[in-house]
Amino acid sequence: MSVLLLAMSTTRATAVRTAADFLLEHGEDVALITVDAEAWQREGMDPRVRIHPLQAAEQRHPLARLGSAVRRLSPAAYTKGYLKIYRLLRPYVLWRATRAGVGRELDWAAIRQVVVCDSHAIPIGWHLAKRHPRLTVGFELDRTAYLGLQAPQPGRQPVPSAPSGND
Amino acid sequence: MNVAGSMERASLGRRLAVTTPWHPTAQRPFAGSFVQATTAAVAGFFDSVRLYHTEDWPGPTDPVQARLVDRAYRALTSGPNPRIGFTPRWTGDGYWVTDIATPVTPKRDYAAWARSHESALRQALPSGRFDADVVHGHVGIYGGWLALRFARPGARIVVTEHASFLGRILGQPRSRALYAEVVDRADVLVCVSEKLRGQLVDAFPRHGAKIQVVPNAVAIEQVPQRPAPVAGLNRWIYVGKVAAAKGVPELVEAFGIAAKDEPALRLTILGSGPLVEPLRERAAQLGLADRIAFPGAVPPQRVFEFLHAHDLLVHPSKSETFGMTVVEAVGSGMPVLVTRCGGPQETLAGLDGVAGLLIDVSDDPEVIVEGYRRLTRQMTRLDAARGRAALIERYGTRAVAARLTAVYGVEQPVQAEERV
Repeated sequence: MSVLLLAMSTTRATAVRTAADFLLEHGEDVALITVDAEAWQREGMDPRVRIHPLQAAEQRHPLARLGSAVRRLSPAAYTKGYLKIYRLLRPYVLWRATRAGVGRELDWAAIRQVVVCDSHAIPIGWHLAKRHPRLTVGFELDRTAYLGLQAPQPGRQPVPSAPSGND
Repeated sequence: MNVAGSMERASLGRRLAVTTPWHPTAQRPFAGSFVQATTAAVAGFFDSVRLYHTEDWPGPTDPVQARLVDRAYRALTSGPNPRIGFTPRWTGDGYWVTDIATPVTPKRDYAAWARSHESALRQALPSGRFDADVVHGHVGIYGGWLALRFARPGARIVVTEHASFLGRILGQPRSRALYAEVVDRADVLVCVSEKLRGQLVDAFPRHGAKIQVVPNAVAIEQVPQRPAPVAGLNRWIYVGKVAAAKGVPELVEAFGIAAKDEPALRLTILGSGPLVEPLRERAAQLGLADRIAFPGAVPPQRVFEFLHAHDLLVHPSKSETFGMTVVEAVGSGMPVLVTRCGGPQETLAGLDGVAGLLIDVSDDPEVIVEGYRRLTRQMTRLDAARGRAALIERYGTRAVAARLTAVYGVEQPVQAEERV
C-alpha cells in the first residue's frame, strides 16, 4: 500500500517531511506530487519518497508552449499580458498534467490515502477525489491507520487529574 | 434561556470550547505552546473541552486562483457526505483538538484573514455553533472573532490577547472594526501583559473595565531542572526565531566583542529564521565559526536538553508581549540576560539580579556585553530556586488556572470520571 502526498509548494515542508518520514518508518511507500522536485531535495526530503514533478508536463502543455512563443516574440507582451492570463489557468494546467502524466503512472488501487498538504494542492485534491470516489482524502495524515489503532472518537476518556495535582 | 435548553445543557455538563490560530502541529511544533499549557491547566474544571485550531495555509495571491482554492475546499468539506471530515484527536492533556486547515490569501488585511478562518471553521462545525457554555478565543483576531461568530447566545465569551501584531490589527480600519465587535461582545478580555492591556484600553477606553491581565500558563512545575547549578557563564544560548526583531544580529556582535578576551566563551543560536545564513557568514567573518553553533530548530521537548547544556540564556529581543523562553529558562534553573522589551520586565519583576539581569533594548551590542560582565560579577547573588518558585507562583498551571477559571465563572474542578 502507499500514500500519496500532494504539495505544490514547500510552504508546509516540515509537515510534509514529517508525514513522509512517519510513513517510511512504518514501511509504507510514499509518493509526492509537486511542481518542482529539486525544491524538495533542498528541503531534505527522504530520497525513498517517489517524487512526481509536474514541471516538465506543465511545460509541454499547449498553453505553456504558447507562452514560450509569446515570450520569444515580445517579452513585454509575455509579462504584461500572457502571464496574467496564464496565472488564472495554471491550476487547470497542473490538473491536466497530473491526470495525463502521474495519474497514469500510479497504481490507484494500492493507494491507501491521499493527503492534501498545502493550499495550492487543494484544487488537484478535489479533482482526484471526484475521479476516485473510494479514495480516502484528508488535509492531515491519518496516523492511526498505520499504528494499527482505531481512530479515536470523542467519548468518555481517562483524563489527567485536575491542574491542582500538577505541582 | 428556555427550560428545555437548560435541561439539555445540564445533562451535557460544563463545556468549554477554545478557538485558536496557534497550537503545536507537525508543521509548527513551537506554535501555541502557551495555548496548550493554558487549556491543559483549566481542562479539569470542565466536563468536556474541545479546542478548534484554525491553521493558516497561505495560498495563491491572485484573487481568481484564491477563489478556485476556496471553491475546491468547500467542495471537499461540505455536503451530506464530505470527502474530507475534521476528526478531533485526543491530546492526552485533557482535551480534544480539531485541526482545521485554513486557506488564506496573502497580502490581505487581518479582517479578510479572519473571514477566511470563519469560513473554514464553519465547515468543521456541522451545527454551526460551539456546543459550550464558555468559549475562549485566543487572540482577538482570529480566535476572538470566531468565538463571537460561533458562540451560542448566552455563552460566556473570554478572549485572550497575546498577539505581538496587535498594533498592526488596530491600524487597519476594517480589522479594527471587527475587533471592536469582539470587544463589545466579549464578557472579559484577558491580556497576557500590562503592555497589551494598555494598548487595548487606549483603543477601546469605554471597555476598560472588562480588560484584565491574566498571564499565559507555563507548566513550570513540569520543566526539568538542570542537574547541576550554573558555575560559570561561558556557554551562551539564544532560543527562538533568528530574526532582526529578536536582536540576534546584536547578540552575535556582542558575542564577538566578549569572546575576544575570553576564549572559553561559546554561543548556540537555537532556532530557524531568515538570518541564519547571514549570521553564519558573519560568525565566519569574525573568526568565530567554531564558537558559534547554529543547530537549527529542535522539537520543544529537546529545548531543555540544550538549556541544561548551557550556562546563560541571552534574549536580546526588541519587543515581546510575554517572553515564554525566558520564563522556561528561569524555570529550568538557568540565569538569563534579557532586554526590557515589554513582557520580560513584568515576568521578572522583583527578580532582576536574582534570576538574571535585565538590560535596555538597544542596537548597540556593547549593552549586551556590559550586561554579561555585570552579571558575571554578580553571580553569587543569583538564586535559581527563588526565581523558579516566584515564577511558579505567578505563571504555574495551578496559579493561572485559578485566575482563569474565576474569569470563566467556574471555580470547582469536575470529577475525572464525569469528563468526556
